[in-house]
Amino acid sequence: MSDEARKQLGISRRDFVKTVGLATGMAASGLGIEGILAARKAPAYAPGTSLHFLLWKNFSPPADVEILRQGAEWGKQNNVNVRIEQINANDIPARAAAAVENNQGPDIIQFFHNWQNQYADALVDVTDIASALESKYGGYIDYAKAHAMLNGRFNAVPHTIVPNIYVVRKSYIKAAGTTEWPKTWEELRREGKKWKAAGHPIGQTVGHTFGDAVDFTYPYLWSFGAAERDEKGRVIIGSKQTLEALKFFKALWDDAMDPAGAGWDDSSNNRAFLSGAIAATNNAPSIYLTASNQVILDDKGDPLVNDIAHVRNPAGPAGVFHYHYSQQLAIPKYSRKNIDAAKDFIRWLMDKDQLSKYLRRGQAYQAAALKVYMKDAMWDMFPALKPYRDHLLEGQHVGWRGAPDTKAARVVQNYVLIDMLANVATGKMSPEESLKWGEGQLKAIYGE
Amino acid sequence: MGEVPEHATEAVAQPRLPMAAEESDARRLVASRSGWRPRAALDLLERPVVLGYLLMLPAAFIIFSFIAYPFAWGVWMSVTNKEVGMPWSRVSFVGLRNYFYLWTKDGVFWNTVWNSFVYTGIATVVKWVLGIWLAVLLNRVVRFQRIIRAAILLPWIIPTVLSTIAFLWIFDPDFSVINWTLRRFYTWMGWGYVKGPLWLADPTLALMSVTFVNIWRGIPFYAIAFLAGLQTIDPDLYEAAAIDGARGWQRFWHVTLPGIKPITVVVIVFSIIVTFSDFQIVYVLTRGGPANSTHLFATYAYQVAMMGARLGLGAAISLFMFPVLALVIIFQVVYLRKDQR
Amino acid sequence: MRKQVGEGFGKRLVVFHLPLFFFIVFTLFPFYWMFVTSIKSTHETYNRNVNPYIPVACTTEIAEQLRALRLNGPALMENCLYHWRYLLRDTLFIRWLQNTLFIAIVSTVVSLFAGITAAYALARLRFRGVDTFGILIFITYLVPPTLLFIPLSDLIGDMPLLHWSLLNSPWGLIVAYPTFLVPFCTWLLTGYFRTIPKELEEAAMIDGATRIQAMLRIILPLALPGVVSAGIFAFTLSANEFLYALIFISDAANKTVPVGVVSELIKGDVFYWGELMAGALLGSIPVALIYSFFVEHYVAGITGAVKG
Repeated sequence: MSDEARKQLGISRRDFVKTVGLATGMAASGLGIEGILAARKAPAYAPGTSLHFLLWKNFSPPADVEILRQGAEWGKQNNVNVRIEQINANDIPARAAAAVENNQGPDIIQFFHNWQNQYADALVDVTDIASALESKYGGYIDYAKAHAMLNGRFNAVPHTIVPNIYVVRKSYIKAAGTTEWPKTWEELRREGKKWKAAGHPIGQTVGHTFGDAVDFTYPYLWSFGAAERDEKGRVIIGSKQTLEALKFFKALWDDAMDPAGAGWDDSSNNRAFLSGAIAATNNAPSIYLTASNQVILDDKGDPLVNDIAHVRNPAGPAGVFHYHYSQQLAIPKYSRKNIDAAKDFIRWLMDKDQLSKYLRRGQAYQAAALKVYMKDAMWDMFPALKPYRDHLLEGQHVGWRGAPDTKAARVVQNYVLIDMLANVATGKMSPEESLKWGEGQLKAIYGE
Repeated sequence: MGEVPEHATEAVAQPRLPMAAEESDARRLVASRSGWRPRAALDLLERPVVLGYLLMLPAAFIIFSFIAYPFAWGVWMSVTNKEVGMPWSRVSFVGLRNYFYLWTKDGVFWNTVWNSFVYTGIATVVKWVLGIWLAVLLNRVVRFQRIIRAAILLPWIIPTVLSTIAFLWIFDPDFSVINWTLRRFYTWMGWGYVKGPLWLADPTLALMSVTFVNIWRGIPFYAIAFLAGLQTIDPDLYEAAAIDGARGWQRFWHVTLPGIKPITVVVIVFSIIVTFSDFQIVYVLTRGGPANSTHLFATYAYQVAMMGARLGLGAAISLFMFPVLALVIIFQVVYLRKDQR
Repeated sequence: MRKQVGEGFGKRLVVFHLPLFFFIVFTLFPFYWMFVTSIKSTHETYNRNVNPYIPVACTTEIAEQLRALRLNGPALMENCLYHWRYLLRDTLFIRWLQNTLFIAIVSTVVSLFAGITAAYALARLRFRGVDTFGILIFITYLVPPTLLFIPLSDLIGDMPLLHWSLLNSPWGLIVAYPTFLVPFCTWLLTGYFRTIPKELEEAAMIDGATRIQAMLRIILPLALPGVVSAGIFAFTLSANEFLYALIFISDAANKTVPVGVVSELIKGDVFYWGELMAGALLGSIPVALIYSFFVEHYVAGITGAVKG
């Protein structure tokens, strides 16, 4: 039957092949299993279908190029116009909010932490995709999974994770007399005092950023045994553990940290580190990758990358904690006729071929949300970044020990915990006042 | 200060009284009026009421189509529990609960109020004083007048977001050109090493820094507006004052300042309203940090509504100043009407 | 500069020259810095220790070329104009400039039309509702764009009655910008119309002209300076607007200068400072030059409004 005839009858190619294949028997019709599979590989979307994918401008530029390439490839294969828009991560929530409110906008939106849980009802249930991937590849890293779920269903597909650990200038700390990376916060304070005296303090932001500030604040508090809520959902931030954490932070800040950090954004510590202003900072692999790609030299003229070490967060009284923020892809319900195409595109992006290429071309800046990628050969390609993988499982979700629900997302988006630290660091409040302030804020947000 | 600018009369386009040419123009209009247009319609247009409503139609259309609905939406949001993505079936009227929450339970709101008042208050006063001063200076300029006036306008012309990004670099703790200069100065004076002020990291300094950027951007508008006002002052008044023995300062105080009172009121009211709802400067430089010490109404509302997805609460923050500012506007309209009679 | 009677050079220096000099430095210093950054090499920009006021690579190159009395275009390009070339060649800056100019001009024309008609009504005609309308126009300023952009984007995405979506198109912004341009234009022009003596129209109408003819043939030409100044103001505000343009436009080719520069030249955590500054300068200097021709009219326009 010709294409024209089929179109006139309103039969899709898929239907046709299925019917004919079944009716005439595989061998006889010559279409065979391959034929059916081939037909399924290129499902016919309505002609002129256009898919709009909104995601961040990656901190690792080659990854941006790769995702564009993947979008174009899938689009060509499936006769869909894939439009990928990459914007500043800080602007994603506003664009998403406007789109959801107006019932039109991008068909796939990338979210960080658990932002999308604030309007999970407006997002398509993607449990089918996410669960299928889980069974196929053997499970997600737990906090990445928790961030993509609300009330037992997946409202987004976990895609990648941006890990954060300490990045250190070996020569600076050695010159100040430190022989090995501090194991506890107290040791860090003691050693950091020496580094600061030598002109190279620790750099940490406690400003209103979506990345670095969260990545430090949450695990820092957790390592003291402090938490927003307990398992039952009661607000327990007003505990003596939190007070101890705040008091100690004041000491750590004054003794060892760069006071300018209170005004830093996500890129300031990168700049400070690369220009030799600080000795250590909590960050994702972007510092190392920039130093490597742009062949940045240190004062002596040697490549800076050779002087960089990646080490874990120091331990607090309650142990070692990290926070690595997850990135997941959601489909808003208003997509309607594009939902199938969007689902297929996401499935395809999560295929081993595409995902591992994306991560490798991104130079291991991001890790995958799937556990199996921890064994990927990518890590051997970038051995210096292996410590990121080694501590990947030591993260928790926002709102820990309570659930990462809508209200926990609000706490992250309103920088409440970060402000608690900033209050004491800048001297705006005493630790006790800041504790009371934070408790009031959390009770107000969680209690609504 | 207070001298007569020679070219004032040229700069001010004095309306000319009708001369012979225009009178005959009117006659020609009469003569050319053809009789085929229906009389009734034309007569209708002569009535002030009809013409008035007709003329207001374009502006009214724009305002009511594109402002009334969003405005009503904003007001309605502020008295509901609406969140992003919440279907209208679940939205409920909550009265003043959002405002009450901000007033009593929110730990950042009063900070925001304080910051906004300090920001607007200081910026307005400084812009006012420096604006008048600059206007007086510009009034005396003759050589390169055009280029100097255009240059002075530059901070106001350049897109705010771009000039603020430049300031981001100027205030950057490690790369700040100000701090570098300060450091060299200290070294030259033998005073040792100084890191330099933490422009955006210290809470008080951060608020001062964003205020400074607002002042830098706003002075040209004030200066040019006052400059225009200066040129409307009758030169005879200055001569009379000089004859009476008034010196420079006294002439300024008793002739110049009162002479620009109308423009002062208008410019300041407009500036206060715009500065209270300023967004871009704080958003680019600090996002409201550190520790909420630079949040203004607009930036905090943006954070609560866009980042935190609570539209109702965000609307309440935005509208909090509404009653006060509305009164200010009404006062200004009434005051100016009074001045005319 | 005018000399005052009895003002010696010393006093003039302190009272006039020095303050004016400081104001000019205060106003223009960031622009100087922006210019220097745009011709500096990236390496110098990120160097904390080198003198930030002087673009070393560029000035060295220029000095060498002057010494050898030979113009070496490519070398000049590499050392000085690298960022400008990137901006103009490798980004869509020219496109953004075109978009911005188009949107600003059309928005200005629309706003002026609405402003002129409304201002004439407010200034000249006495009828019920005039005062209320006057107040209403300014009340609309009190709801900030940071709140308005959601319902406004809703409207623009689904125009009432027509069911078109103007999102991602310059027309969406052309519809949105008059919302904050019309009130101020109306205020400015009302003031200016009030300064034109009523006698002119009355004389014309006594001679038999209709109100409309009087308005068009006599009043408008006299009000031209006010119209020019309102137009300049509207143009500036349109070209500088950021939030609506950020939310309504998603295609890189349709963006305006502020949004395009910020979104394309800040990649993740890397700020392309040289290009950013070049973009900032190119986005403002031409407008300033245009202003310098109109600035007398602009001042006169405000003068007129002031007297009213």
